[in-house]
Amino acid sequence: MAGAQGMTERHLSLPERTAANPAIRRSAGGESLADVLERVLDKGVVIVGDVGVNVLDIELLTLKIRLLIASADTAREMGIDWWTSDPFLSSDARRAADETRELRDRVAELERALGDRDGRRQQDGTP
Amino acid sequence: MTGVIARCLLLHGVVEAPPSTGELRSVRAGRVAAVFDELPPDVGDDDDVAELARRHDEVLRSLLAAGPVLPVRLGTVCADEGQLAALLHRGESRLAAELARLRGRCEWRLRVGVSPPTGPQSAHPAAAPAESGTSYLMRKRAEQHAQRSGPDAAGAAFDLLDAALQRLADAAADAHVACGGAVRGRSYLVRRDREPELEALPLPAGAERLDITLIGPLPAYSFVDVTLEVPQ
Repeated sequence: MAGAQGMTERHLSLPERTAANPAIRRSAGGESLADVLERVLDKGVVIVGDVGVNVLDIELLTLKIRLLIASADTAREMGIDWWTSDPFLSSDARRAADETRELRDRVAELERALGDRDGRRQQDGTP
Repeated sequence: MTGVIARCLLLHGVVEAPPSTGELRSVRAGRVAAVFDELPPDVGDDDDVAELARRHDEVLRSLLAAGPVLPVRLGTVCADEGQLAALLHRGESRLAAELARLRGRCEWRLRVGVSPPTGPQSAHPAAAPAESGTSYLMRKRAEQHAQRSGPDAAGAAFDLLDAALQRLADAAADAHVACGGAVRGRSYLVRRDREPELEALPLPAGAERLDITLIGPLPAYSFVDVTLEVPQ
């Protein structure tokens, strides 16, 4: 679809920081699909009725995203928590994956160091 | 999921006057007008829905430049212009009153979270310079301390900014945030003539370790509570 015209200057596509408070990033809000869905889903005038007025079955198609946005706690209570072990979606899972990788690298480094030391001892004839 | 849909009008929002730009289609009824797109015939898969959501948001934000706008719930369709006009006539008083209430106001969303770690230690461990076991353990302890204190600093920063924003806003509403428990968010209905005060929000302690975003101006998504019933 073509983009809407008549956008004002304030609808910037890049974030800017306020002149007075550089700690706060300003955004016009169009940065990611998650940001857009976060504010448009289930919001606004509701029209209910019969013939010819329906709501598209968006809930089914965007189920994963809605679970993330709407109520992660409620989903967990229902036993739906697939995202907690997904490193792409969960900071805890990401931290665990990072720490595991660091530990593996550290063990490999120590094993190499031990291997080098044993090799030198054999050459020197020391026990 | 895909399906063939007959001609359908996807509603975006209701405004006080039809938009002046030729690209946007609208139907007028008395003091209100509804803005819509005609749906493509084969909409239904995930990419189409994502595009619909972006288009919906984009249209509503462009309408905001000309005056108040009532977002219609994403995914609402009408069969044709005649049905849409009849619906608007039926709800004209209610819709006009809601638009008057929102005139000169828009929504701003605050989001506060902990910034992801940056710097050489966040690079792949194999690329970092060799370090002793003691320094490795000390570094890990410092990182864990930062992770524990981060959410506390984010909470304090949110409370500080939330208090300042509530003082200048007409209303506030909790906002669902897409990043889980470490991020807090809230929406505020702010008068356009008070927006310059957003430049003078307080500076929270530890802000350099936080991800603080103020998103807006937006249509008043979180401050519209209208239900219209189509007659049987």
